[in-house]
Amino acid sequence: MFKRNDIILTLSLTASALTLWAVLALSGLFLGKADKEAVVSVNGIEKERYPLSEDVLFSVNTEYGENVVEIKDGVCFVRSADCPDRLCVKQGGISRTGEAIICLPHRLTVKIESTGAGEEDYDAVTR
Amino acid sequence: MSDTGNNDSHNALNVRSLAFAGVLLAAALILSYVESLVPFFFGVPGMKLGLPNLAVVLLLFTGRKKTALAVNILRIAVSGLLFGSLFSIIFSIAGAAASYAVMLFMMRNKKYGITGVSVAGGVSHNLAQLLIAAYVVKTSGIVYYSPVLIFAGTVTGMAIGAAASLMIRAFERMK
Repeated sequence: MFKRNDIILTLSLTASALTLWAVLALSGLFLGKADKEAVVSVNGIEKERYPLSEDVLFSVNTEYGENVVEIKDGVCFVRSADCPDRLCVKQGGISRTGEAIICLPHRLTVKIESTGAGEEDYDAVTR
Repeated sequence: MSDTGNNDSHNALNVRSLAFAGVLLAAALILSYVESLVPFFFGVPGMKLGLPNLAVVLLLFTGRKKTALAVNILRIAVSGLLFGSLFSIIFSIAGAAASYAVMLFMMRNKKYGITGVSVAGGVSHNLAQLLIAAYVVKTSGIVYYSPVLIFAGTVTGMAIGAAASLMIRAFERMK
């Protein structure tokens, strides 16, 4: 039932699956962040773009008020805001393509976009 | 491996061979149905585990290469129409063709036993489907599934190899 070669083949396939997984996981760690940007828009008009790969702290001042946005370890937060509900702060961090923080009182959106050509993060594909 | 004497090279329509092929085709269809109950495997539509490969492995290891090919083709046609979609037929053809070719090749250089052959068949089945999926979805990100698919192919291959060798032993006792 089991020949010696069968065991070698099975073990080497398992090993190659594990190595491949490790390589992909590591490359995703390094490449995944570099090609994403946080796009800051006010009233639907794009103001700034910041790459998620660099840690940065900045404030967005508009006629509606002020939001302090931070990017840290590839995750984007609204740290503080002088809006009444502060939902944007409570929402926490975003990092995946398509995710967005919206501060309605200040007409502010911070959205994650990918810079790579046509590459998107898919949650799932349905038929 | 043992040759039961019903080698399809005789080409005569041996009743015993015909019945055996029919039973295995039915079994393969049941396994296709079981597979189709898990429609969302690996997040790629139409992608399957490759359980019906059990019937093909059994036929190959009882010396019926042509019957194995015929059962393979009929199984894809019938199960595609019964349980599948266009995608699942494309995936099935890719997976079945790749695993059949690889398994024939592996059997020819007689270094591998039934488990090794069916593991190789399972892995090539899944990788062929991955290539088709990468072409259909046009996303290179789909390579992220390859480790999972290699591992799944190995596991199903081992299960199929074990099941097939038990069944072949039972067939030999039946004679």
